Amino acid sequence: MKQHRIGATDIVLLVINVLFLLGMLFWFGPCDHVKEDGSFMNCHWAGVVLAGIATVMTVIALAHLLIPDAGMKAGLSAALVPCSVFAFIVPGNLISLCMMNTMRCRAVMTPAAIACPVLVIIAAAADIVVQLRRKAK
Amino acid sequence: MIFSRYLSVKNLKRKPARTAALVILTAFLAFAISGGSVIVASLQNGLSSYRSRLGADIVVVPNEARSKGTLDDILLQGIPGYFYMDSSKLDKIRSIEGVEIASPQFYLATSSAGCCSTSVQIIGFDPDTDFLIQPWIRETYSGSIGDYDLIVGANISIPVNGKLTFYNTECRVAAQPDQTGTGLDSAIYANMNTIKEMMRSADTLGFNYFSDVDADHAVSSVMVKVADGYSVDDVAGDINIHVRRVEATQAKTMVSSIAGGLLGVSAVIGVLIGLVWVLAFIILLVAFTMITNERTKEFAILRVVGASQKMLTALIRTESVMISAGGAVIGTALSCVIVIPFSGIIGSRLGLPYLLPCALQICLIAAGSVAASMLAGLLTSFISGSRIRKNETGLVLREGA
Repeated sequence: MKQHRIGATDIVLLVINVLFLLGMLFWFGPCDHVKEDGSFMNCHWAGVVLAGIATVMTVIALAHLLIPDAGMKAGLSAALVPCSVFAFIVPGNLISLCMMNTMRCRAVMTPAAIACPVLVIIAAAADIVVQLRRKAK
Repeated sequence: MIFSRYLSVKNLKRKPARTAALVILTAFLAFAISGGSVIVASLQNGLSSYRSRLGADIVVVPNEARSKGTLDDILLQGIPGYFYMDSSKLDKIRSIEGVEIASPQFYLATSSAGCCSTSVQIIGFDPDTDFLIQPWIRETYSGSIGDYDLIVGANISIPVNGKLTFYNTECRVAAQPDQTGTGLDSAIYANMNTIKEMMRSADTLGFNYFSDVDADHAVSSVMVKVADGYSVDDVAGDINIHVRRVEATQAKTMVSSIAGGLLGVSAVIGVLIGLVWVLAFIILLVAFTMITNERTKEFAILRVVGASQKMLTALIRTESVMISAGGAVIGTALSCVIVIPFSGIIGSRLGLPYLLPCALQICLIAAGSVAASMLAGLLTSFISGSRIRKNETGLVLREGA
């Protein structure tokens, strides 16, 4: 039986996605300001959607780590790309945010929703190349 | 050459932990160089933008505004504030010899409303005398600024319908000028009629900002342009002597105090970059020297099978270039992905004018940081590679036997 080896891209993908998830839950989330009528602001829901996407991406990255088949790994990495694009366009495009660029949702949450998905896309692209080469061997 | 590249790849793959550690170290160096350089360039850009936007020779504000540093807060960080003085002071300033233009500005802070809104600074200007805001606006908007027209700073998002309402006064967003990296990006600009209408509405709604001020006869600051042939210092002194309860400050004094702060931050970042470079260089040198010492027997065997000294040096150099290039690209890319999107929070935490450089400048900084990181790797490979030449092949093999 072929031994299951954990590669560098497996670890990198998992680390970035876990950081994205933890960041959205604890560090990069929007402020907890509530409207006068008691309802949440738009940026709160943008934060919830981003945390949801980050959870899905983390599960994919975990599956990527555990599954030994190179073809499946490449497929899982490819699946991370549209998820990242979705995360990228949620704040400010699909869900409107607060008025000022200096506010937390724009100054912290949006940059995090740009930086993490961009890193995931780069790592996923590198992993697809690695896995396809592995599969070709 | 191809063989040395093949052998280098094999060597690097054979020791993945060592390779990863060296790549991470070089990446850290590249990250520090490119991230630090982008921050320093942004601060310099911000200062030059602030200098050009300030434009006036002298800024006159009521005494209490200067002592509380309110004007600096408004201009630098966009923190909303308001202060007023009687508009009769404007006429007195205009009557002082050497004053070519004196243009009033009026500051109004909006209330913080519930959803997706915050307190915003509104700056009213007199279109007939203004020589600061309109030239800036004309860079992006050529039309006239009428009543209920707003010019919105780059930090403020414009609603889909292009309208903003403050104190029940609905206004049309006419234009959004380019980013300046200063507090001006967080402000909204309108003519005096619009501001006065907002003030009347605010009064009706029960906001008592102007309880002790006659809104129709009040201004917040006066921007002064000094006529040719007069000393700015003398005119500012005359204003301070002849107009009571105001403080006339030379714009260059405001800029130079910020420049001082910026110089301090830039110097600290510069020293840190230098230290990181030296530290990374030393660590890489030690690492490569240790690796070379470990591999003396391997090199001796390669010599026996026909490899020349030049080939062995090329082997070390190729490994070093591969490691430093990989680390440099990773570190620089990482710094771009982090420092550029988070520029807003970095700028607000520094409390200084902060304007990201253009794409070309960022590319040049990235290329420079990759080159500097690779230089560190190359230098260490030259030093450690020179040690191989000193080793006597026969002696090394006899000692190892």
